[in-house]
Amino acid sequence: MIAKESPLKGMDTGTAAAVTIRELPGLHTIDLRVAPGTEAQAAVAEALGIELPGKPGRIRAVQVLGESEAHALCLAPDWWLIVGYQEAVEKLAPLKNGHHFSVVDVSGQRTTIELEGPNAREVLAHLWEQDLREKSFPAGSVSQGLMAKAPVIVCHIAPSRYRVMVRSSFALHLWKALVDAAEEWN
Amino acid sequence: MLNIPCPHCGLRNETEFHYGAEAGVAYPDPNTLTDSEWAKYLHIRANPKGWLAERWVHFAGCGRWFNLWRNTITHEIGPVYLPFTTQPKMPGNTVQEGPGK
Ligand SMILES: [Zn+2]
Repeated sequence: MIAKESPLKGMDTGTAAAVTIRELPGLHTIDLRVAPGTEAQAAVAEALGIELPGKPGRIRAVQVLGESEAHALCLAPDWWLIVGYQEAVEKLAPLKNGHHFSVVDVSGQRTTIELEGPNAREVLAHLWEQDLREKSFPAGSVSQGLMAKAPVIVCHIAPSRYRVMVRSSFALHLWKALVDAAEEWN
Repeated sequence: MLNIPCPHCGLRNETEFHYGAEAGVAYPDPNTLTDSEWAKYLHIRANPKGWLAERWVHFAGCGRWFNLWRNTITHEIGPVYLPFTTQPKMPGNTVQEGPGK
């Protein structure tokens, strides 16, 4: 097995008052597909101990025993990402014979860039055409789209704290674009 | 640039979508068709000036296909509806020329 290596290894994260940009490499992520409103969805949610957010664009944060906070991201009516929950696949394994759903470990697909600070939103807004204002994208929201032409998932994890999940091959390009956008705020 | 209302994600930029041509074209049974009927199914579309029911996919977002009415002259967007649901009525005519549907 090849050791996992962060696509942004060695990049200087740096800190500043207005915005901090850092990589959160190797966040455990599973891709969950299950038809909404079915018995299978209820069984999956119960096994995970998570209430899956029912509306695309919503995040549910959950405390998972022995791990830091995990997040359930609703990306489409039948599509969720479960982030930061190591035991998720194991917990769902007993259900696979009785229910129709799909679980894939996609931890290696993307890396995560976190922006934190009073100007994190302004920095993101340089590169993001969707509305980031509080009334459209409050903490607890998630959205997919194109950032500097790269397909990304943007999460508003907490006030003034955003995560951008990006495919590994686009990571360096997006990192440079974000650092460039942050220049004027630091 | 069009702003397209995805029924799952809300209003988004056209760059997040791919076009899927006319909606509501029923798939025929290929075994019972003549070659010319098959060719007609594959290639012939209404192509109206004015309102057209179209398929779109939100590839950069939820990844779902959906349908909407769009005016091909004014780019005005009418009702949006999900696949396998009843097609809403064609919106009122702001501009309508040609054969239409
Ligand atoms: Zn969508």
